[in-house]
Amino acid sequence: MKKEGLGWRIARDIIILLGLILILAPLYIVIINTFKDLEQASKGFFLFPEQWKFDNYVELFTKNNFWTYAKNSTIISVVAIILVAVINPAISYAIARNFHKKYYKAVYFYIILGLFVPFQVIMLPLTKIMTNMNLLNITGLIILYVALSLTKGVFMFVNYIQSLPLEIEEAARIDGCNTFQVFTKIIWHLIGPMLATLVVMDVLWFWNDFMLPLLLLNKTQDYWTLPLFQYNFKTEYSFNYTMAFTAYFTCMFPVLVVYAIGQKHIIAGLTAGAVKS
Amino acid sequence: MKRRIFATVLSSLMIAMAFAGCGKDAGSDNSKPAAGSNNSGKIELEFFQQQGEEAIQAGYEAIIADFQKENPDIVIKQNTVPDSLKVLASRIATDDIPPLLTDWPTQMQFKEKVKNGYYEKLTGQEFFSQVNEDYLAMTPADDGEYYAMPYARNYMAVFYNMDMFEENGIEIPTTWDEFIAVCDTFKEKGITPLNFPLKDGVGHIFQATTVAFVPDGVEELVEVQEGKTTLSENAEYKADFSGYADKMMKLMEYGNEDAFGMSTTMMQESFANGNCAMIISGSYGRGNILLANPDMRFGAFALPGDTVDSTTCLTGVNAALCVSAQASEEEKEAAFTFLNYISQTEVAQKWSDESGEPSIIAGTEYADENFAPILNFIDEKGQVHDWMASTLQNNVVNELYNTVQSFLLDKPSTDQFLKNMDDTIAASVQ
Amino acid sequence: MKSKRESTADKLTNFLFTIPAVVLYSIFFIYAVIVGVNYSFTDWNGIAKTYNYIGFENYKSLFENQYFWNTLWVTVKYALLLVVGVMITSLILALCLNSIKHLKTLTKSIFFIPAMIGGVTISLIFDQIYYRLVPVIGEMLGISALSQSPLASAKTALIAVVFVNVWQAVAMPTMIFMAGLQTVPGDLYESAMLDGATTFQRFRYITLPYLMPTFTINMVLTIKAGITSFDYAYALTAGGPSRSTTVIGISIYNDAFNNMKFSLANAEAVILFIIIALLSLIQIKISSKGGVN
Repeated sequence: MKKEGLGWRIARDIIILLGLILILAPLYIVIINTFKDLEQASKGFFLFPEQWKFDNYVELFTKNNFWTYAKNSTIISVVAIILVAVINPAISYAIARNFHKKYYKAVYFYIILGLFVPFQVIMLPLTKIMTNMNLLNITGLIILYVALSLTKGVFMFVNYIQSLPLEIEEAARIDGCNTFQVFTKIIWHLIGPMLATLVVMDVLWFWNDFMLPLLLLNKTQDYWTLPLFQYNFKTEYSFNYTMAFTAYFTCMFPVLVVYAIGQKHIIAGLTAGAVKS
Repeated sequence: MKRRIFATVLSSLMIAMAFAGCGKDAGSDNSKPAAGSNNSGKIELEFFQQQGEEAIQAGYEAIIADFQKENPDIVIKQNTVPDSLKVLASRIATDDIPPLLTDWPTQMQFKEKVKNGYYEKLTGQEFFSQVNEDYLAMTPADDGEYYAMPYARNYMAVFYNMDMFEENGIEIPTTWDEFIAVCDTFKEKGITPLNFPLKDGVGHIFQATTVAFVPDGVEELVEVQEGKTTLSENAEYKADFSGYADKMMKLMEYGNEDAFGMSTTMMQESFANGNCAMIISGSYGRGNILLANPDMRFGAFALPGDTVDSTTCLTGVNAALCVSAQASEEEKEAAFTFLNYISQTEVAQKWSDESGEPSIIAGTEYADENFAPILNFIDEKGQVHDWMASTLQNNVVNELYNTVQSFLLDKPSTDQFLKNMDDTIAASVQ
Repeated sequence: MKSKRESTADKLTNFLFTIPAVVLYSIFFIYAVIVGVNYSFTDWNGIAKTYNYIGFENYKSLFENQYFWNTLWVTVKYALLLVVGVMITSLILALCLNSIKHLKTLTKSIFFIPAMIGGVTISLIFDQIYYRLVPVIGEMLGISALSQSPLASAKTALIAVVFVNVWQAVAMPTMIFMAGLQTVPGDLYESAMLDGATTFQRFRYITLPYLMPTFTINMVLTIKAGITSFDYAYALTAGGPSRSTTVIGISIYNDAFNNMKFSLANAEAVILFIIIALLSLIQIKISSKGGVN
């Protein structure tokens, strides 16, 4: 892949530059406005603050149970994603390698069916089921996330595992590994890129989800997650948008930090050429 | 090999137990929010409060704290969620109703809940003697009984910038012609007379203007809803709503150019920053305007109709407190104690001062005297009308909002507008 | 596996692997779907304690309602705009990002940032930007179409909403495409290069076929996201102006929670389900041809 056309390279650089501006400009606007009060912001929405003010942050951290919400969000995201990362590959592997058997084929289509179901169909029945099972709490939400992660997970993994070469597995079996060992020692490593994709997708969903926490965790603010708190600003501070920006930014911040620290890992996981035949 | 399998099962069990533990942790100090009493004889009550505004929450918080001092055995926990209507709808649908909550008793959805037995009958309770009778009279359910204690009122009015009025020597207008004259004066001086929030606020503008410009307009729409006639057929109704359309078009001439991009909060901000002389706003807008500009001097007057006598103001009960019929006897007792407590004049006064909301408990006085004109108008003239949702179906009202928005945006002929209104009602009525 | 006979324990392991997933999925998904579909045949308003079965009445009244047809049409437009926007942008971005040499990691990580932000959050942010910034830009560039927020006009509101959705939704498909690009064997490129193939030819005959499986994943996910979209339109316009952004997600929400027409809302959701199923099946059929396996 040495020489590439000059025209293509110029076009490419322009596209990337435009993209960078489009992505960074809104973030810039959000961040600078968190350091202004309303009066300053109304003078220049996208100007640098004349005077850096931290009042918004002080108010945010002192007046609200921010840390409780952050803790809840973290517990939910972490526990749910661990379970998702274990359950999805396991069932997908079983299906992918036994696709010729009726049971596994049936299970596959049974689960894939969910891909077509819009959330709106199950929204209220789900709330009712959770109420009856006494699961209107964080545990209940975690269980739901795991259950709802399956369609996408199975859809992504089964195709992927089927595309993996069988040779390595067969070699391992000749060395005496059983199915469980093949799964943990070999498949687990081979599915890295897809697993990373699923983990990133789902963690972001769990972290940013608003609808399910709203329906399940509304009994007391002690259960709230960050998106509930953040959305609440729409009514509570609808007007004070620099304050609202502060809340939005603060909720994004942990994800951005995790991402900044782990981005090499995350993106490498997403793009690394682990699949070599 | 078998050991392996056993290990898998065991470890998944352990994971399951681990996260079950987490859930308990997160809610340990509050594990039974709705269930009520525990061993120490204390009773805990969830108070599902539907108004998200910070000041209103703070108002309740303040009187709950005082209540706690007098009644240490009753713990009231205010719970305010985003999108509360949706949450309440889902909790009702799943039979999980908060023991104490606020709702809007004049609306049809409330009456539907009463019909299905979700709310405790409160008729005859002591606290009703403290409530303003005019507003109380709006609240009985279809069976004539009372299921909610009205606590505050709201209204739609013209908010005006007092400095601008005084600097230009302008008096408060009391008829449509005077109102237009005021608008013209401002326009001549280069001041935008009005701002409209037609992005998300077209509904309340529609309600306020209908009541002001067509005093029987809502009743006429109800007849259309019942299929008795249409605005296009009935000559009288046609004249009424043609007049309405003309007035709206006239009003738009005095509005802002970016009206359709302006949301209600943006309008409040714009008004607070002195970009316009007047806005048509709900009483709920006052708090935000003060947040944006604490020094602003502004008051409110009724949106004038053709004559002083025909001028009618839209006002209603702004949240009332209800008790769930499914609560335990203890919870109900505790809830009644709380309602009796907050219906006292001093308590209601404190709430009103703290929240900035006009109370309807006897003996209270609204602290901001700039708003006395509108409140006096409502109390003394008696020309008032309730919100549309008390007689029109919710979805009819919501669809009409869209139709009115299209009318203001696309400016079709008046006949077409009336036909669109008719069609909208016919298509959305159940 | 064909070469060796499976032991009973292996069979059991495979079977056990499927159990937790199937159980969870059956209770919290399939059962919920059945309950939801069941409601669509009733007259339940979400409040009443009892309801009657009324057959296909809800469906009938939907198809007779002009607003529902309008809603469907808006939804189709929304989904088309979203799919075109996301697929083209992400494919181009993936190709661009994949071929740059300097600051590749940093650039990639910046392009992934939008995926970190929730739909509601980004909508609330863009709401402010549209109102406060766009008119200023319009004035600067002298474009009268940008003299006010694009959300204010029925002509531009849908595009403005989809734009925000694309802004947020493009990152993940881009990364998936980039992962897909890694599966293209490098030596194929080199031999094509020796044969004198142009950049476009290399893309058309080598890259594209290898991208087909990832293309399917992205397409299915984006179509579904487009047709079921709710957050963006709700937070930005709540369906207006003049119903120009009332996608079916908003219509379902309003009917279920504001209009006391819960069973009707469920019927709408079921129709949505059928549409998605049909589209996805067609899509999978089409793209399963012509890919490299």
